Formats: sequence, structure tokens, C-alpha cells
Amino acid sequence: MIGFCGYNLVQDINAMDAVPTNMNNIYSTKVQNAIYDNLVISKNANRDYSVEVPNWDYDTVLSCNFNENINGGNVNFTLSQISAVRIKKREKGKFNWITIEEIPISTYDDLKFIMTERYSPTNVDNEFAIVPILNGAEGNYIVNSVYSSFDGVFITDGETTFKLYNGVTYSNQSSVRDTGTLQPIGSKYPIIISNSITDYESGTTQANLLGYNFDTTRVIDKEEVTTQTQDFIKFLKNNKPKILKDWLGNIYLVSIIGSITPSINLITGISSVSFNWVEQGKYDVQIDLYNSGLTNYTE
Amino acid sequence: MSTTKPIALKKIAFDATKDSTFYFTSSGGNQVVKNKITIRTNIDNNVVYTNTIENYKYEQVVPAGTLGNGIYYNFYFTTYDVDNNASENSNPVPFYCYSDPVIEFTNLPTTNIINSSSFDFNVTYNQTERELLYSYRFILYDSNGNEISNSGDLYDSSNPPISLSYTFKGFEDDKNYKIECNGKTINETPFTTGKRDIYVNYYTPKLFSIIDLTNNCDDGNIEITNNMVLIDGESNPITPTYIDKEKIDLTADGSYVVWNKGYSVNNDFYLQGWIESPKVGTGVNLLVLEGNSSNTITLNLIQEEMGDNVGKYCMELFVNDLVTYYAFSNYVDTINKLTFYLKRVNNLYTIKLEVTA
Repeated sequence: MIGFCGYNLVQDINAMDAVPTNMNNIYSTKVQNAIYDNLVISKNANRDYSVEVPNWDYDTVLSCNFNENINGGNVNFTLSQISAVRIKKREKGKFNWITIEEIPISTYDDLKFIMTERYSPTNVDNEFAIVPILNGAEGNYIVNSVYSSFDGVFITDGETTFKLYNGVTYSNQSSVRDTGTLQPIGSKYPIIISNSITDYESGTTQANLLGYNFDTTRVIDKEEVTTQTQDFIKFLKNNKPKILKDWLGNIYLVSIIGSITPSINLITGISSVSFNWVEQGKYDVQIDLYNSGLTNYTE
Repeated sequence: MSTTKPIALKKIAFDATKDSTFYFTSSGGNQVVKNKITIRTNIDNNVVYTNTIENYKYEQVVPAGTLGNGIYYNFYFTTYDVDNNASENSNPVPFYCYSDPVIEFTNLPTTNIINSSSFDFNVTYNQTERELLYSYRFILYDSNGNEISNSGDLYDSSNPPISLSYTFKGFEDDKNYKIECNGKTINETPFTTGKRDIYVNYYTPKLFSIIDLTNNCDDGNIEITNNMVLIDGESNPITPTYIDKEKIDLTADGSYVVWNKGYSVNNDFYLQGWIESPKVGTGVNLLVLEGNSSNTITLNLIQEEMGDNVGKYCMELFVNDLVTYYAFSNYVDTINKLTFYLKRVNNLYTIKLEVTA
């Protein structure tokens, strides 16, 4: 194609069409020589013409309303003001938030993050907030909510998660409360003493392991089961407190105690692992999560 | 049977300018039909008040103004049976009279509207005779008065008046709450600000979600995606001239706003600007887009000098890329207030100009 004064001189059907350009990576936008009320740039070139100022949406690249600011993003502060972003969560209806992560922000790209939260129980309306730390103090909470619905029993130490979904049972479960009993002479009934505020759950969980890929292959690969069993036992013995949660909505912050008991069916290759646990705190109490090493933040 | 020695009950500090009830108990012996209270200054046991009433209740009200604030007293009761037999005097119980402490919020907006998701509540505690504060707590209630959070007991033993504060974080937008600060003095006089209504209202984007959440059913977790976008603008002059707090005046020579960090535009795009009083002329750029290779897209407004549309205005697009590219918008008669549109689809541009009211 020959370019001359912006027109195509080859004698074809597009001879008088404007010459296409290929200018990409536009990184700078400058406005001047007028009073500006709004400016919007969007990736959606099919947008209808309308004088209405559009709301920020997923296609918006830059938008400035010039309402005493020249911010082109969707938040009303600058990079120099923000030092970090906190991710918080809570169950809808509760007031206290739990800080699950704080991400330092020093460049524009630091804001482009995706993270995973593993400590929510199933069948609960969860609220998550992104909280900018502006000039050292918390800015406004930007909140969204999601209903959690999980299929399986999950045990995680925050870094590694195992999903248990075959033959999972809880047994020997008890709600422990310490009391003492005195048998006084001459009294028909004992005296119960309850000075301690001890109040926790304990139990035994057992599950079959069918291999990492059983969900997709539906085939029990005995070598894979062996590997998964070894990994799972190593995970249970790593001394880190864990979150144990199930599809019924139960959730416990636990430590694994005692021996871990694997039993392997040499014919089918299925491995069954049993372990005991005792509750160490609540999954929705910041200080309990901190003391368990499941978060690095105390507030 | 005889009358038994009554037991005077603990009396917390109170404001002597108000009525106050003193209590005792009595167990066994003849029925108490009359009681006498004796109040003495604690420093020298001088009697400052006695009063006898016929009453089956184990109490007596000391009228307002009988005692003085800032003074340490003690009291005891004597009881009488129907035959006017007096009991032994009860145990003496010391107590203070102090003016009621005053505690009040100092920074609640007059509208009671809080425009933030967190708020640092400030109160001042004061007490005329400088009675020290023992403990206090801030309590947050929902709109129905159900407690949803509190500060726990906090302590401050400074001499009054003192300022106290606590920050509650996590207020939801468009919600009503109640806030209270209460506590007690070192002599256990309770105080409270009462429950004050607050309404929280702050800006949240309604359509676009800055935080995206995905429930991963099979993985047992929730994925959080941050859609926060920061694009800092730079201007010349550094402090731009705003009009009515909603427009920016860039008509002065050399004034501009530029955004050159935090985003990039590729492939198809749509650009729209709302402008007033634009300058006219070839080379008088209203908008300049710049790419990595210093290639540019410029828009300027020109007035037709010949032909059917003489005197009318149109917008001129000039793309300075590997090849040059010109395009023109439709014509308009006036340019006081305009909206311009620039679309690029498959690297072909469409430009449109519209007079706005």
C-alpha cells in the first residue's frame, strides 16, 4: 500500500479510504486550550454516542471529572498518598473486620493484585474490603460481598490446602469445658467447681485419599495416592495451626495432636488417614489467627 | 425478740445537688418500722444530718442540697421496732459527694453524618471537684440499639478535664448507628454520653466493583481481585484553576493537564470530552495522545473559511504515525459548549462533534 497525503492510490475498491494507522501503546493524554468538564477513554469502541457521562466500568481506561481533581483513575487519591492496601473480611452482619493481608504499594503495578482467602466457612455471606492506607491512616473501605459455597472438607495452613471429599468422618468430637467435682463428707450431692474459662472443641477426622487427579481422571492411580498420602501426613505434621472446615458450615482453627494414622488398602490402593485435632481459637478472631500464624496482622 | 443491728450498704459518690437514696439491710429480730440516718463528715465525725422516717423499706432519701459536693462523709442507720426500741447503730460507710461528671462528644458533626468508613470519636471528661476518671469504654450499636462493637475498658488517670478518643473502623455506607461513651469515676459514679445517632454516608462506586470476588467452590477459597486504578494527573500550573469545583480552565497559554503514568491504550478505543470555550485554529491542539514511539494523535478545532460551510466549525484529527492520517468531524454552528467523540476501530478513526446545552 502506498501512502500519500493519507490516501491510497492503488486502484481498488478502497482507493479513497483513509490509510489505517497502527499506533498503539498510547501512554500519554494531554488536554489544553479549553475548559474541560469531563474526559473519558474506554476500551469499548462500540459505545453509543451520548452526552451523558458514563460511570466507570470494566472497559474504562481513564476518566477524569475535574471536580477539583485531576485523577484519571477510579479512586480519589494519588500514588504519593497511598502506602499500602489492606484486605479485610468479615461475615455480613458482624462489625469487626479481620485484616488478612496488607500489600505495600509503591508503583502503579502494585495495585494489580489477585489473592486467595482460605479462612471463610461455607454458606456464609462474606464481606471483603480493600482499604487504602493514605498518609499513614486508613482510608474509606471499598466493600463487596460474596456468598461462600464450598464443596468438600478443606484443611489449610494458609499456604497449603488439602481437599478431603471421600469417606470423611468426624469422630470422638467433644466440646471441652473443665470442671472439678468435690465429694464433701455428709453431703448427698457433689460440689461442682468451674473456675476455668476453658471452652474448646476437639475431635478426630478421617478421610480417604484417592490421588491428586482423581477428580478429573476418576481413576485411582496408586502411585499418586501414595505420594498424596505422604504429602498429607507431612502437612499434618508441620506443626502449623490449621483451618479445618466442611461443607456443613463447621469451621475450626485447630492444631493436630497425637499420632497420624494412615491405613492403606493394598488391593484398591485407597489410603485412609486419621488424625486428631484440638481447637486453638476462632477463625474470625484476629488475635487468634495472628497467634496461630495464619495472618501477620494484629489489627 | 429485739431489733438487730442493721447493715448500711455501700454508697457510691453522688451529686449533692440531687436527691439520693441510702440503703441498709436488716435480718432477723423485730420488724423494722422506723429508721434513722445519721450523716457525718468523715474527717471529724461531726454530724451534719439526721433524719428519722417511719417506713418499712430499708432505705431513706436524703434531699438535694443537704450535703455539699467535694466533701467526704460517712453514714450509718439506726432502726426501730414498733415499740420504738432502737437497734445498735449500723456499720459506718464512707462516701463522697461530687458534682456529676460531664462527658460529651466533641467532634460529632452537627449533621451527625460521618463521611468515612472509620471515625475517631473524641469526648471530654470533666468534673468540677476534679474527681479522677477510673475507666471508660466506647460502645457502638446498630440502628436497633444492639451492641455490635466496643473498645473494651480503657483507663486514664490524668487530672480532668481530659480528652479521650477511640476509632471505630468499618462503618458501612448508608447505615445508621448509635455511639455511646460511658464509664465510672474512681468513686464509682457512673457517667454516659447517652446514645448518639450517627449516619454514615460516603461515596462508593455503584456499578463498577473495585474489588471483585469469586467463590471457588471446588478449591474451598475466595479469590480477590483488586480493580483499583490510580492515574495521577500532572498540570501546569501545578495548582490548576477550577470553575465551580467541577470544571478546569485550561484556556490560559501554556496551561494543560497530562496523564502519562498508570495506563496504556491499545487497539480499539473510545474517547469523549466535554468542553467549553475551546480555542480555534490549526495547530491549537485541544487534545494530544502520545504513543511510545513519539507518534501522536491530535485534535483541534477549525473554522471553515470557504465553501458551503463557511463560518462553521469542525474538529480536525491528525495522526502522526508511520503514515499520516487526517479526519474531520461534522460541522457545528456554535462552540460554546461541545462534546467531542473519537472512536478508533481497526485503526480507522471516526470523529464527531455535538453542541451541548
